[in-house]
Formats: sequence, C-alpha cells, structure tokens
Amino acid sequence: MATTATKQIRIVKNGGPITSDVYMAYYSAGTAATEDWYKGDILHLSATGKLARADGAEGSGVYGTATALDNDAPWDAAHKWFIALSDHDSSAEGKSVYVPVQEITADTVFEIQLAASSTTAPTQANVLLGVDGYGAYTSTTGVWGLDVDDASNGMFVVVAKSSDYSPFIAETGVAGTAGSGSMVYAKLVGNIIL
Amino acid sequence: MADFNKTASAKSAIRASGSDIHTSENFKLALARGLDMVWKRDFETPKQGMNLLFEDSIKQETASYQTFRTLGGVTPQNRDADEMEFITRADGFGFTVKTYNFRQAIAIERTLEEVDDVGVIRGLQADLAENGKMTIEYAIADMFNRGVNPSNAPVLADDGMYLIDTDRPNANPAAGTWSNQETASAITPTSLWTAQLNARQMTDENGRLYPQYIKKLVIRPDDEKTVQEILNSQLDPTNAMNTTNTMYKKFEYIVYDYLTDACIYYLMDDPKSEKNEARFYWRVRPGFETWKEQPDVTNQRVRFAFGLGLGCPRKMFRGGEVS
Repeated sequence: MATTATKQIRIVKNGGPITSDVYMAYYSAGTAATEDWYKGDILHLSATGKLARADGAEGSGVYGTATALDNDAPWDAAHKWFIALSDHDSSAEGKSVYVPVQEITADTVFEIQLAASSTTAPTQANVLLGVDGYGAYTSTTGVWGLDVDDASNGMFVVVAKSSDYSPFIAETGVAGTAGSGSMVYAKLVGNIIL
Repeated sequence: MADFNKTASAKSAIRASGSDIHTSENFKLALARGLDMVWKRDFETPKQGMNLLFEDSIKQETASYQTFRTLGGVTPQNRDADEMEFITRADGFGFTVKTYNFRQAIAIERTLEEVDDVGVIRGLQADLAENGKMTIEYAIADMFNRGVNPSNAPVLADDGMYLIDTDRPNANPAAGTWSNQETASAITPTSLWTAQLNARQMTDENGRLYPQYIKKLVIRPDDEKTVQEILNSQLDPTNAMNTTNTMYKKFEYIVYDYLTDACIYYLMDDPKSEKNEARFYWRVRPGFETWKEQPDVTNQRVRFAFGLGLGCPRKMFRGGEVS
C-alpha cells in the first residue's frame, strides 16, 4: 500500500547560501498552480535559468496526485537544487520575481520522511545507509518523502536514521495512509548536483 | 450579527521553511504588521525520570565498575584454643557505563535580529536547554519502558539481565538464581500483596534471606485510578464481599507520565540513596557556547554528555507487567 510523507523536508546541517535576490521564479504567462510552491519544497534551477518546482519539469509539477519520482525530469540531469524559504504564488505575482531560497549542496544534510510508492513498509529497517540512491515519493500536498520502494534511482542517499540521531524516541513520523513513515537524514546523490 | 454557532473546521498545518538558519522568512506571519499579539507557544513539561535514578558523574567516556563480595555469612562457633577461621572474599559482577555526546545548535541571521520586534528569536537558548532536558527525560523513560521483560533494552544490569527479569544469576553460583519480576497481572490488592511477599522473601547473592520492603509504587497514568482505589479503600474494591483491603494505605505511589509500557515498578528504598544502582552518569553537564562563523550569522549550541548504568537492582527495583 502506498504511503505518503506528512512531514516536510528540513535542512539540518550544512545548508548552502541563503539568497533572496539572485534567483527568479519561473513564470509562463500565468497560470498554473504547477508554477506555485510552498516553503520547504525542493526547487531546481531549470534550463531557462529560473527556479521551478522539482517534482516535474519546469512548469509541470504535479501537486494533487501522489507521484513517484526517480529519473524523471528534472532528476535526469545535474542541476542546482534549493529549498524554498517562502511560499510562492505564480499567478498572484503575475511575473517572474526574485524568491528566497537556500541552496542544497553536496554537503547539505536534510531530514526527510520515509514513504512508499508500493508495498514496502516505510520503516528504517527497509533502507540502507550510504548505499542506494533512493527515489522520491511526493504526497498529494507536495510533501517530499524518500521512496523505500525505489532503491535504484539516484536521488537521495540516507546518511543517518532517526534511531541513531534520536535514539530514545522510536519513531517520529506518521505517514499519510499506513505504515510508520520513519524519519532519516539524507543527502542528494552527488552526480545530480551541478 | 453575532455568530454564536460557529462550526469547527481544522486548519491546515503550518509549513516550516526547511532552512537550517533562522531568517526573517521563517517568521513571516509573526513579523507581519498589524498583529495585536505574538507569542511563542511552549510545551515545557515537568521532568520526572531523574527522580528514579541516582545521579553521579564520571570523567571517562567509558567507565567500568567492579564489585566484590564476602564469602560465608555467619560467624562459626570456635573456642579460643582452636584454630581461627578467616573470612574470604571474591569478585562479584561488574558493569560498564558508556557516555554519549549530545549537541544541537541554532543559527540566526543578523537581519532577523534587526527586524525582530516581536521576539521570535527570544528564548532560543531556552529552547536548546529544553531539548536537552527532554533528551534526558526520554533516555531515562526508555530505560524504564524497556525494563520489564523486554526483547532488548538500553542498559543491562551487572548480571547481564534486564532491569526487571527472572532467572537472574548470583555471583555466588551456589546461590542459584533469583528474580525481581512479578507474574504479569492486573493491579489488585492480591497482586500488591504477592509483590510485597516476594520482596520480603528475596535472597542476597549468597542465597541467604535478604528481606526487602516495598516503599513506593511507580505506575503509568493509566493505572492511577486503580491504584488510588486500592490504596484508599478500607474494603477490597475488587469484590463485593466486604473483605478487608490489606493494601489500605499500605504504600505511596508515583505516577510516572513517561512510563508508557504496561508495567509497574516497586521501589524498595529511596532512589536518591546510594542503594540505587540504576544511575545517571554525567560526563559533561549542559553548557552553552556562542560563536560566529561569519559576522552576521550568530550561532549558539548546547552540549552535554551522559550515560546510563545499572549495577544490581536487588535493593531498589522490583516490577512486573500489568495485564
């Protein structure tokens, strides 16, 4: 049974530079919620040099459905990656505007909840430290989870489990549908970082 | 028109920014103009676990403790001209305490300090301290929640067994085994009576009678009503036969809010006395440090190190599962 994440990504250490007047949001004459994001979402610097949500190619994010991401665009190529520091409403802005972001570098460690696009239980026992590149599974509300059912596509590498960094509290996450949805520390896989 | 018939509708959770540095974007709502009042919602809770452990301090990261014991136990009849018998001693069980480091930090961008006119960054040091206290609270709670017949536990006693366990070895092999675990049971006057009886019939590590007396019960909140009824009823509250309640005002009890495992502990002495070999070892008490990696980001961290150790629970703890 698929299980989505309910807790957002947060950078816990080695976050990159914080900027609010360097990168502009992608804008395509205005429409869609596919260009909006909420703070805490992962963004990427697209081929047009604009920031766009990372759950789809520039301007085609897929809020509203639970989505398994692996080597799909934009994760099929190296990019600069960011965490959004504030919500962004593309149609309200009506143009491409500067947005506050923090860069995710190769050293950046963030906490992410385990999710499952298929049937594996989203527990710490089902992920390996520092070995596989896991895919992502985003929820209907755009919360990012590390997909325990996809260990073959290089997005996230687990660097610590909450049983290590928070040893006295067994599980901290409660996933969207079923399972425990444990938390882990992860980095982005190095070869997708520009 | 006054609206006195409001319908409940849950708000969506507030998203966090996800950044590891506090910036003004983190607090966009609180820093907005025109608010009448802004405050940080705290959840400070009373700390309870430390009351059950003896506090000690060590310098080493890993410290080993060893006990020794006297063989024999009574003085032999021996006339003056006979040859004297001498007491002999032997090693007892030992145990090792490992301490662990704990650190956490905050980082604040100077711009936030400048624009913060409502105090969103006030009390961050208190937050660090509170996190430290909760770490200790959960560490101790973990010891007791996985203390009665668990499948694994954060600390083992010096005899290699869990805090509450059966078939415990004695250092003197001739003494056989002993137990400080009661049979799983609902809490009743009878179960408390049996626990008291078993405490009185305990043996020392040479297998000789070593009577102990239950002083206090440590219970989870779920059992408070039951225990309160048992300890405050002159007649047995578990039946309708008007029989005497032998447990009437027999013990004091402590409700341990962080005890979530279905179990009860029996304290046989003051946990703050030397008799308590369940110990909390400080290596470094919580300390704060402020530093800057660059002029306009202020960092502050809390750091402390502690470990938990357990010698022999014989003088202090008995317990059992609550069914």
